Amino acid sequence: MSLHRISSIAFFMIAATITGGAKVQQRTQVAVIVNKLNPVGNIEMVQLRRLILGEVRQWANQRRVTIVHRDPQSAAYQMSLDVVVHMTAGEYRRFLMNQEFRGGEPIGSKTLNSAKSACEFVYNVPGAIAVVEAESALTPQCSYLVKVLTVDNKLPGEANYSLQ
Amino acid sequence: MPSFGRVKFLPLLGLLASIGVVVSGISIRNSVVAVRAMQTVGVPASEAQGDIQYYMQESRRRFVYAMTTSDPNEQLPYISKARVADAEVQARLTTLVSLDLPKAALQGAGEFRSRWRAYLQVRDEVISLILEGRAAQAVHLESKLGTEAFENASGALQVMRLDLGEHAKKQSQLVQSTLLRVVVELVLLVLTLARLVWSLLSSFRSERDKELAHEREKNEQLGQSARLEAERSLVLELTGKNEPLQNVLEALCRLVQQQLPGSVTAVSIFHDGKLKEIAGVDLPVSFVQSHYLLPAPDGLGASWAALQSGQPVYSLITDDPMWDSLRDAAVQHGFLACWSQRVLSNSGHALGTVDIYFRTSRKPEVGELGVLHGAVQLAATAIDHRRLYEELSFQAQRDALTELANRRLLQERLEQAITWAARDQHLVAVLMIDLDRFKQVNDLLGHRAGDTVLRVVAQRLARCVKQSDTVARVGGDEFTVVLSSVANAEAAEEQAQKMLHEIIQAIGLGEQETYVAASIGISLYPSDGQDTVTLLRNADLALYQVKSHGRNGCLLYGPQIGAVLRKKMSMEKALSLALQNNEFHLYYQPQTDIQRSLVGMEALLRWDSPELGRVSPADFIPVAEETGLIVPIGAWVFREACRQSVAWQQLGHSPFKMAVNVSARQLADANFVEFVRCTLAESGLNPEMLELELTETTLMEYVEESLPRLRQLRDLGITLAIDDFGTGYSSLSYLQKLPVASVKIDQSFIREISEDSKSTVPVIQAIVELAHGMGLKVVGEGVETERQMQTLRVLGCDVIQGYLIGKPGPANEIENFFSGSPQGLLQLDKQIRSKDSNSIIAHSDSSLTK
Repeated sequence: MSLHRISSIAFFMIAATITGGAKVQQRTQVAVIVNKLNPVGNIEMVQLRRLILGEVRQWANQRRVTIVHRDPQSAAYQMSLDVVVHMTAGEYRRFLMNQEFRGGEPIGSKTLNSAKSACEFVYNVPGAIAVVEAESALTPQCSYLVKVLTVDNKLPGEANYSLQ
Repeated sequence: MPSFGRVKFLPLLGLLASIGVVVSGISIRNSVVAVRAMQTVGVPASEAQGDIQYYMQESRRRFVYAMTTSDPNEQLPYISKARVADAEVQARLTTLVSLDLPKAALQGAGEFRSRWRAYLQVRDEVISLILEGRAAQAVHLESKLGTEAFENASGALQVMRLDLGEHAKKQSQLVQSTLLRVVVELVLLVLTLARLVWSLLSSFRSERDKELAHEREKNEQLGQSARLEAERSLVLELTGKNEPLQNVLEALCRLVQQQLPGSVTAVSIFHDGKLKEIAGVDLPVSFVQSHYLLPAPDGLGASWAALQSGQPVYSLITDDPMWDSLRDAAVQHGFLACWSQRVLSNSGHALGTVDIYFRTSRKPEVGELGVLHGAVQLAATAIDHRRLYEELSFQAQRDALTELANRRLLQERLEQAITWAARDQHLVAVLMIDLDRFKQVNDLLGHRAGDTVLRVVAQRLARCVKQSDTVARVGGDEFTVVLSSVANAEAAEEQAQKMLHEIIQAIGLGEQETYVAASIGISLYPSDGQDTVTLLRNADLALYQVKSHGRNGCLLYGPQIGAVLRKKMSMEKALSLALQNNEFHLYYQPQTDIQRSLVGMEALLRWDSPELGRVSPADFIPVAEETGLIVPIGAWVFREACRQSVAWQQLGHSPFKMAVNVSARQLADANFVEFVRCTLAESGLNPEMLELELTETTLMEYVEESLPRLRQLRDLGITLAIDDFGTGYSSLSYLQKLPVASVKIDQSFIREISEDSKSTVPVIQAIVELAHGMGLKVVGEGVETERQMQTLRVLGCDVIQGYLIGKPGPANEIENFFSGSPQGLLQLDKQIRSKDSNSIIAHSDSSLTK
């Protein structure tokens, strides 16, 4: 690959990162939701990162972990990657493909096209965990179905909440 | 001086009368309690049980629908609907348990609740597995425990239904016996009271003879009163037993005629502006036809005069002007006087008249006035009761919106039809009808318009069937028709086609019109099922099959439908595992220019399933499209083709274009362009060495949505080709706008090139000239013979693909065509010539993901 091409790609990657970062600052908060049967009430950022990266595949109650993502254009998806695993959507996709190509067990993940669907999915699957828009997660329709976890002992809306 | 000879009996009579009053009061109270218990427990319990059965089936059906797809975004709505139905089951069960049910039914409800919960537990576990994508485990669990648990719950519900039925029967018997007892006790009470009164009166008679004579007279009257009361009781009893109204009113007429000897009594019912449904014991038929059954002219006969004025009319037929136009008919039958009075309902509506005719000219005496009034009261009670009964019966069996039969009545009618068909050896057809895209009508035009559409469709369906057939509304936009007797399957299908034709006619909604279509699944008794449950289920399966094949049609159930659905489910299951089990691989087919220099390679998907063997793309691609698996499979094809192309380049072969097919669903994915960009970057393939092929149909169907993405792909340097060109419906204006670089003539045209093919060559020539005129290259695929090659060369085709050039094969075999050196092409050419001379060509295989 020529030096010129490499520098062009680097330029576009930096530009994309800057643009992406600016978007993150403007985004609203996101919340982490799990099934009400899940005994977990609080999750630390490190634990959340390990779950999303597939390093932890089972909950303490032996339930298989299923990660529920919102669609890649959503604020929640970008936020979960940006703040939690420090990756862009492309990097995370490549990470998943690498996982697959290395022969490891694929990460159990699903992509759903609305926060409401994500809530319903989590409600139906005891081992599911999802990162969705906080304003959707805190609506009565969603919070009736699922449990909103505290992240580093803070709920969405509290001061110094990590996922914002 | 009063005689006190009988005074000593007065306390006894008074005591008896008091006891009678108390006992009658208690009996009346008991009868009211019994009737109320039947109304507040029996009917709601029966309705709640029926609803539970319906919502159980609804929950199950939605859940099964969720199992037929693998995309959670499509599964979740079905699961939500199943849970809504679960909540309805729970609500109805709570209602049921809150009723004052007998112990056995309560135990049955408890048993049902526990079994239903057990089923829900298994079902929720299956849902969890489905959503996690573990279809195999889900199917295993469902078949092992889910079906059995559901059948257990259905069985418990059936037991509870039997208990409730038994309870209802007992309640009904209790009401009847209590009412009878009330009647008897009232009669006895009246007799006792009468006796008391007469005794009091007679006790004040001074002369014994006079007292005795008077007492005899009173005794006679007492006997008449007793008979009168008995007759009155009989009328009320007939009313309470829901005997036909005609019988009740005729009993009433007999009662009046007994009280007024020589009279002829008629009771008419007012309906639709006419006095009809005449009840009369001795009324001549010709008089009924001339006097009643006519619309209401002013001043016509005593009946209409009474009906319109609201006052009793006592008319002399020979003198009264109201009889002018009917006098001759009345006199001809010997009627000279008529007393009429209007019958009013409890709510104040006119129900009809009671008419008493005499063959003498007479006006009523003082004692006779009460007879007419009493008869009117009894007639009002009887007619009101009958109307209320009919209204309640109608509501219990009909759908409120369309007035069609509801699910309960449908069940009864279907059972009845099966019984008759078994006896008379004929066929019964069950048609399940579902309106296509009815939700859009509701969403776009509102629920009121949706209701209008449902009513119109209901009317049209009702017009299509015979009186003996049944049309029912069984769900939001779902109807079921039972054709009680059809000659054969073709007749049932013909009837279904007729219904489809009726349904798709325009439906007026005020100033605008809308259109709906429908899908129909048909099952036949006895070939497709011997009972209602099987027939309805199989019709539903046939309907599902119609829906999954494009809707707006009808299909007769057959064993192959069940087999097709099972095959499809097993293929979906295998397909969902195929990617992670590395069961897919790619074949490649070379493309050359007209001088037979290699210019490209087309990637072809192949699936070798351990369970199903080599599966044709024509079979598994539609399933992958339907389930959404085409997106990950297409992504794998894309990555693998790019990787292979780069691998060949790294081995030192000259770069050539790699053609990869793209499906409509891939193109619809908002991330598709980003995916292509990333994959190219990862593989290191030059975008100019990549060609994406889209079928003509895909492009034209989604042209507006896909145009921006196609332009982005072109801007990346990727070339685009239209596959199977000439078989779809290309718009030339769109063709001009599309950023395509080449078109591939469909192999069906190439295959027809032969010695005498005069029709195909001009078509190919036109396509070539059109494409060249628009600056596009032309690829001929499916080339198998030298003649086809020569023809395409003469017509100016740019690129050739087919068995003549090279058979599709795995990467390691294809490498033989060009391995080693730039002379590889010569070797390829040599092999091609060798193949041609040996007439190897067997099949054209230009399908990629086909």
